[in-house]
Amino acid sequence: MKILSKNNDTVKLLASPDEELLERGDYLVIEDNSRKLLIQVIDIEYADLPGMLEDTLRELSVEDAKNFSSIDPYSIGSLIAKLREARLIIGKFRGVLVDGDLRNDILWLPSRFYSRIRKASSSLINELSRSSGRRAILLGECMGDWFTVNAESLDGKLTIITGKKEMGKSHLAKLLVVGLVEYGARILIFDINGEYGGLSKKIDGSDSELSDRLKVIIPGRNFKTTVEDAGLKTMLDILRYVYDTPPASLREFSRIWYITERIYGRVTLKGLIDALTKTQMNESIREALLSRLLSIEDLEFFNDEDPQSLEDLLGELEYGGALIVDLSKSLPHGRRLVVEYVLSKLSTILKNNQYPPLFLLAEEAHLYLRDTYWDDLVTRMRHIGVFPIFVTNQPDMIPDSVYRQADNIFLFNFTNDSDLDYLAKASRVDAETVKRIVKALPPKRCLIVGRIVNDIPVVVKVRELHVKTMGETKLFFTQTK
Amino acid sequence: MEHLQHQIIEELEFLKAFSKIGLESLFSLKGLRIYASSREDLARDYLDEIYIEFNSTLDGYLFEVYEPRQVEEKKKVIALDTSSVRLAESSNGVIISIKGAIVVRDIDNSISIQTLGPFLFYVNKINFKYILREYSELIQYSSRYDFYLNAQRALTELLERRMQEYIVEKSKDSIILFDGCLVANNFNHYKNLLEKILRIAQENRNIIIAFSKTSFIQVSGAYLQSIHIEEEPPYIIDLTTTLKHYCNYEVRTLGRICLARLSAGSLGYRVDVPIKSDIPTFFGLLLKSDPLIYGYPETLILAHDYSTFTRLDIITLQTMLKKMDVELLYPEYVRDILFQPVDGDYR
Ligand SMILES: Nc1ncnc2c1ncn2[C@@H]1O[C@H](COP(=O)(O)OP(=O)(O)O)[C@@H](O)[C@H]1O
Ligand SMILES: [Mg+2]
Repeated sequence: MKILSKNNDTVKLLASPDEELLERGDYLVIEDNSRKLLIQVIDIEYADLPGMLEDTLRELSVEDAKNFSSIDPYSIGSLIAKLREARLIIGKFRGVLVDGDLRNDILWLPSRFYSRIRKASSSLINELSRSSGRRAILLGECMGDWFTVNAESLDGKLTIITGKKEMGKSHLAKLLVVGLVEYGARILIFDINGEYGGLSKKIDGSDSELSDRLKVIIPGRNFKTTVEDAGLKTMLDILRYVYDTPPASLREFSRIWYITERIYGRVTLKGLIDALTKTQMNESIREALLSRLLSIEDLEFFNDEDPQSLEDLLGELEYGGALIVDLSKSLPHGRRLVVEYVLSKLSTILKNNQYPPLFLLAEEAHLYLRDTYWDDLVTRMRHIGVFPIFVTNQPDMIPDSVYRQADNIFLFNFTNDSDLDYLAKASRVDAETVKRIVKALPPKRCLIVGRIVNDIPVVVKVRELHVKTMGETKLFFTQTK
Repeated sequence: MEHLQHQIIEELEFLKAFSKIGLESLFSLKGLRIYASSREDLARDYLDEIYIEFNSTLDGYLFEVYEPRQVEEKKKVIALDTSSVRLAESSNGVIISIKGAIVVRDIDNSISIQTLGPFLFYVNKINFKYILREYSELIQYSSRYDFYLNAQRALTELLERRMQEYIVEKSKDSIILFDGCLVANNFNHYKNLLEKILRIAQENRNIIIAFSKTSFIQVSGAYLQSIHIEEEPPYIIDLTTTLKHYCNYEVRTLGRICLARLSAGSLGYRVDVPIKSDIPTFFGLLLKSDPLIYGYPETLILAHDYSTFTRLDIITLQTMLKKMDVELLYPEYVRDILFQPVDGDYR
């Protein structure tokens, strides 16, 4: 390999096809007189050699010839064939290695002619990308060796996992859940596809080590609460944000709430509906509120006979575990209502210091999280101890501001240019790296950027998980042999 | 050097000796430091450099104009061309590479291509007589640069004439297209050889037509290509007598010099044919047998293309020289390194 050029932070190298196979994301060390430059391969192209067009055109016309023979005493032809295979390696400058430290502030360039270029060792990259902490989570392989991250680098942080469908986002999320839970972390999961319950079973169907640390709750079935537990504020939010209730109606709802409290001594959904039909008010407002309350009743989430409290459910996670809110069986309104309830409750519990911090894993949160909640989650909620991990295949549904605050981003393949453009703007790494590497990632591989890798972007081949991941997309036709 | 192969076809026996001499000459290169030739003058067409000057105008002179005859018969068309480059130069000598191509269009329109080379020679003041043989007469050098140029030209001629000789001997009843002119210079060996080539061609009933691409005929500073007549192409203007009449020195042409405009829209090319040529029939047969591209036979264009060095050829040859332990100095490259910051796309 030879250095061809350096322009800003882009370094171009020329390599012959015989040289060691490189992949996007691999690191190279350029060494000259004991100093080392670290660059990351972001793309590999054919070298655009002078005369290539001529040569290829000539080849094309030979294809039409009946006979072609050549007397080539020095076998120039085969040498040319090899030259034509020369590769152009596009790399990004990642720093200068001085006494084992990676420095970005040093201006130094290796000689174009005398420097030695080789693939960086996996141990070097592992070391450079290691964030502080002792709780390692084995993620998979990087540059031919195992690759771990530290659980501490997720703690108190905002993490985003994004990529196209079926690339392995949920699989990675599960891997993180398993790792975190094993170290005693508590996690609340909004499970839109009902796939996280599988973590409690091994592939052969027997219970996994995690089985008694996971609890799946299905709203309306084994997860029900009372309107009183939700409280007036949350009920108002639900009516306002989930059911688009106008302000005048919301005022009337508050009145009804107090009336109900006074008449029945406590507030129930039945009592609210009852009071609504009996109290005097504008007919259209009554209609509007009634239809909404009836549809809330239909969800069977509010149940005065057999309610659970979120406090109790979270309490069960004392020694580390995951509470999985399975939203797969809920209708859109139901999902949003449940999330509204859970988040508002969570915020109250944590604010009152009743509970230690926890991770919140939310898949496709745009489907159930109202717009005003995003900023709240990454700012206020983070301060009271909710550390979000967002998983999505629609990166543009997460606001810019969330990306800007993200500490860790796991990027799986995207082919759509507008998605790539969006990510390139928002990530903690240069746009070119994102575009070139992410576009070419095969399934089950991701580019990790951010604190978790000490801001040394790495491409990791995510390992398998020996529990049921149940991530398979349901098919109508299942294979029959 | 074990990777050098000599799989030269029996029929092209002369190439064996040719490439052997080249190979031998390279042995003296080992360990030599030599400047790579600068890129601009790497390739040249020396045979086309001969041109004829006039000191008068053609006004009022009647030339003979021919129209190609309509024929039904098709002939095999064989075109050949060579080219050469100087790869490196030192005060003692010059490294030259040459290539040739023979393209055959059969009656059924199928094309066969044979490329010869590239061959490599290190020509220096000690070995040039041995390498160039009769052609070393061409080397009259007053300057180092003249030596390089003449050595290149002599080697190219050597290969080109040998190829022509070979083709006119082996083929019968074919149209053979040469690149260049049928004009002899002051160099006797060349005149004799050209005469021999034309004679054998005639014995084998081959039709020789030499097309020039770059050579021009100048009349008082005006290009002859600008002569216009009332006719619609295709036509051929025979200028032989005109030139004899107006030329202030003896043109040692071994053929007839014509301006051929074979398709509408093309300027026309200088075309030389042997003296006793039946111009209408020759061109009629050519038009029937080979398609034209801008008035130029396609087979000859192919021969030209396949004998021309591409940049990749040159890069490869230079790489080979380095493997032979020749240190190539790149004057321009050195300048680039000195004056161009590494930062800044180097191209
Ligand atoms: N690293 C991996 N090793 C083995 N199987 C994987 C891996 N990553 C994903 N899979 C499998 O590929 C399929 C799609 O993965 P999934 O995580 O559901 O994709 P996504 O959430 O991006 O749509 C699932 O069947 C999952 O089990
Ligand atoms: Mg998924």
